[in-house]
Amino acid sequence: MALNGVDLDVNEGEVFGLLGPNGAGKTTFIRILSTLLLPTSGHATIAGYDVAKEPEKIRPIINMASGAERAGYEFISARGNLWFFSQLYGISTEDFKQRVASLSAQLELEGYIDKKVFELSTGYRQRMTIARAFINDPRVVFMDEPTIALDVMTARRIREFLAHEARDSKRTIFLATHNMAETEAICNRVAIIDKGKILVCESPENLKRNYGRPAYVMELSPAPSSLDIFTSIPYVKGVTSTLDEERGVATVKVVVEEDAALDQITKTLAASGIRLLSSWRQEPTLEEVFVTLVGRGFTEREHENAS
Amino acid sequence: MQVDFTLWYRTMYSRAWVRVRSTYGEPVWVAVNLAVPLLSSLAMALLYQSTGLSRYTGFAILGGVMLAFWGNVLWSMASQFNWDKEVGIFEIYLISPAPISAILVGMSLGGILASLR
Repeated sequence: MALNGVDLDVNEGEVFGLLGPNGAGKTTFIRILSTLLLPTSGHATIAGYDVAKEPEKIRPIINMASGAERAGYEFISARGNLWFFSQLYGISTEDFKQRVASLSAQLELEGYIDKKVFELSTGYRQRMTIARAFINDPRVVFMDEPTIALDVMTARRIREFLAHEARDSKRTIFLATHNMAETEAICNRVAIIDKGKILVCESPENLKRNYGRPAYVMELSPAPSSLDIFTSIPYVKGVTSTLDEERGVATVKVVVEEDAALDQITKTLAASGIRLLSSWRQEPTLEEVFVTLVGRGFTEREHENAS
Repeated sequence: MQVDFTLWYRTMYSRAWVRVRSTYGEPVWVAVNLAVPLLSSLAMALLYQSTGLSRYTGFAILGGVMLAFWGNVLWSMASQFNWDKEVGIFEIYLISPAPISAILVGMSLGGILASLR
């Protein structure tokens, strides 16, 4: 079963992130909501319309874009492509002109709008794809890896555009991605999905606070001969180390369950004759939360399979 | 089922436009579209003449032209439809309110117009 027991409410004007490993069910989730697939059981609604019973009411108010799709027809200009896709929604020429002027200004596409698609770089093709997804003034937009393989500036421009569209135009944006930085930057809430189930659904800040573990990064000299001196300390959950041989300094990262471990760490270092040159606290990242949650899911399944 | 004729017409017209513009967007395709039917008609005419049926050569040429015409319309339509599916554009059709019948009619009409030009 691709999805099982998924129960979610997504608000108007929200950027909602879907995080999950490959095969987790993200695409199935988006395909059901975008009326491409029928659910075998249960129901889903978009703006109050049932995806299975009233797809004809949903289709005019949704759109989707993927980072993996081709932008459009290669030998036609970006403007020509956008006009074609606007006609699938019955948009008048006047409305199209207004929409394309607004979108190309927001996505900085003005100088490229009359170039044929094959003449555009990857970044400008993707800007055109994003513009295409907003051409019908949709209330709900599904985005699948919209900034994949893009340079930093283009990816940032697209993220700003998506955040702006959600905030100011009250559009709901579903964002399926593997990019944690992108999720942290623009998503109001994130659902981590694995094997068809939602493991957790909260804001990125709450996820990090509730499921992440802080780490202490320390520069030590001389380098400890073994990391076992840390692993035996209560509340220490993991240790990694890198060695700068030229300086004779080891950078040790200790992941702790509670900050109380720090006292014991400094005592242990002093007892071992190791100098603490500097240290700082590293906040948990969404990536660590993701690995913790999805990793726990795998462990539980292995246990279930074994029993 | 109620049909929105304005939407149907806009979809059909725009898909036909895409087909015509795409065909003439690449000069090599135009040359190929001209050369292949010409060569196949010539081959058929020569075949008829070499078998002593030269009085039917006119039919052979007409048949060659018709084969090329429908081949271009139908084969190109099938290959474009497949291309749309492969690159993700077909999904965009499906999630839009556009009727699939309008897309198909537009594709074939565009193929006919592109072949006639």
